[in-house]
Amino acid sequence: MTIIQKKETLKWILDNIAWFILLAMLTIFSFTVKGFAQWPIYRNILYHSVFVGILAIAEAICILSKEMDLSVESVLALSAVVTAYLAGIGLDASGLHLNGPTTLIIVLIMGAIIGLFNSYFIVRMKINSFIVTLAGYLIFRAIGLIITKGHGVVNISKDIVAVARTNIGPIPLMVIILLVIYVIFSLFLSKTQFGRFIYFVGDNREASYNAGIKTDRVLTIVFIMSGVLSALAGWLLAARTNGSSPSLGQGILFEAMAAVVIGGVSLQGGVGKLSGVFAGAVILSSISTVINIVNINPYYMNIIRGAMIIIAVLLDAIIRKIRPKLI
Amino acid sequence: MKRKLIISLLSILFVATTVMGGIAADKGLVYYLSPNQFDEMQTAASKMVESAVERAGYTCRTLVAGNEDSNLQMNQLENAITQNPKAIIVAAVDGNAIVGGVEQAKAAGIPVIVFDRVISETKVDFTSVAGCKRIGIMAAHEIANLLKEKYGEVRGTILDIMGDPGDSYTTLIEEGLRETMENEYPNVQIETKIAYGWEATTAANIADDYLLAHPDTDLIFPHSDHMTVATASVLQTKGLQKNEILLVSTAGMPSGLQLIRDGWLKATVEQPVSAQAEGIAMFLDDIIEGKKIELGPYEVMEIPAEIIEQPYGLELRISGSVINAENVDNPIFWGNQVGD
Repeated sequence: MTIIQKKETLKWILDNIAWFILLAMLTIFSFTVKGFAQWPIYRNILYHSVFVGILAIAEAICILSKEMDLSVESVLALSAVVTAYLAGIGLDASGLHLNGPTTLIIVLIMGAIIGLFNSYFIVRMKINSFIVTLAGYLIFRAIGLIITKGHGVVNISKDIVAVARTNIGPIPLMVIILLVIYVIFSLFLSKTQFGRFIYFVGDNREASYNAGIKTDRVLTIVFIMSGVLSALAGWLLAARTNGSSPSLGQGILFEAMAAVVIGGVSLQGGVGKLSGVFAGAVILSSISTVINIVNINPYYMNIIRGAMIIIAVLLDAIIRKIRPKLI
Repeated sequence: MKRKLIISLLSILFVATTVMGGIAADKGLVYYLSPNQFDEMQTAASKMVESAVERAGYTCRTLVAGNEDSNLQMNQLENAITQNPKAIIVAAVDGNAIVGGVEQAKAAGIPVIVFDRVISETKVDFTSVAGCKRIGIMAAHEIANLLKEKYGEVRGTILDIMGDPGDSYTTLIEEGLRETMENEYPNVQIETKIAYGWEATTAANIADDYLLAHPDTDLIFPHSDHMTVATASVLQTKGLQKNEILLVSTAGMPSGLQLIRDGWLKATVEQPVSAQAEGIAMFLDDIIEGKKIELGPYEVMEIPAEIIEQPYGLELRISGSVINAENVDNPIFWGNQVGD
């Protein structure tokens, strides 16, 4: 192997460090945790990473463009509520009993409108995205609470629930949906001109504008994509829980942010790959799963979860720091 | 002449009724400080407290502490004090954090009534609680009955899914469950997990993972019905039949009652929210006027209750009920009372 080849190999390893952390964790858990080393556990890890995984794409695209979307969690919750409200049979449902495809179209349009709403204030009114989406974080979940008067809605259309309960071979349909979305968005970011514009805008907005890139248009579409992806995650979450409850998805924003950071997306914008984000989401899901199956005092769970996230991020940070010296 | 007399009498009656009604509805302002708006039970509790207080002749103003924000609740309490209300009813986010505010209210001569969540670090004027520990004890006995039905003796393994550990509702249930099991049913193994923030998907994921590593689990006990709905969905996804793994819950939410009707949930121990609210209304005048309230047994909405002296003041303790397939449609349960 030539020096150049060695450098390329090392660069590839460092670029995909989240995957190696994931592999190391899964290996350690498989050999040390009783009952871990079985396909259904790995299947669960993937299944449970679906919602965080999709939200993490939404967040990653925003961060790549050097913006932030804090409203993703509330859009997810609102989408789950709207889905349950339109397709549920409970006391607080609409009574319309709409089917899966119709509710999906409605919530995706709703997500797009929310994205447009956010982008209007960010792009046109030049208000910081942190502030605008923080307001959205508060507003959109509250709208969901108003719709169902703060009650849960159970028993939604069977065709929606079926999405959560169908397997294609040994793999849940939800996981396939997640993988397809990752592949599509990874290709979109890496292979299309518009995807590259997102990186350019995140790396240097002024230079991108001077180079003729319509930065406002790029950011508007970024926020619309974020809204649509969050709404899709909410629809899938309603399928998973056969309805919605007022606290559904609470705290998932922080998991999505953690997945993005662990996955190597720079908070400074313009750097990072969705494959790393996917690994980040699966790392978080693996930690939760191992905590769920081992017998430990439940009060220590969040300490362990937090410590493992810090270890993963620290490891990633150390390697990224030594990377320029090695290459 | 006769007609004029009748009209006059009716007019007097109308005016008198209106004036009396006006007086009845004008006894003054009472604040209710609710801890959150994400918990279905708290949403119902707000409506029930408002309704009970207004039936007692007061105007009720509800303030919600966002999502269990103790600092926000403290601010709300301080703002409420400035309005000089007749009383403040508090369902505390944090029973310790709010002590300073409670003492400010007392110093301003405003009675403080505690609803649902005990404030034990200072003296309050009245406390109306279900006795969450009692709910845990009742759940333990119900679980024991179900395991005995299954095995002929009380033995087995339980996955116990607590809600947020910052909420005394779940920690007291846990205490009641654990104490009862350890003392009376030692052959029952309990494995406890936590669904932080009472988040339903977290509860579902816990059940999903745990059942893979421990397929011999007999029963799952999520501490609230909304988490049980998501857990039942996981059992269905796994292709399990009804009652193959038993489900017992607490709260008595509409969604829990529906799950009992559907045959997935064996029983839920109701928190008697409407009786707790009614209990406050029963004694509200006496509390505000500073009259002595007798200790001893009472009945609130036909539910046995008792007023006892606690270090923190008088406590109205109301028993919860076990709801199962036999009594699920009883209109006395709050889960059957909420709606439009």
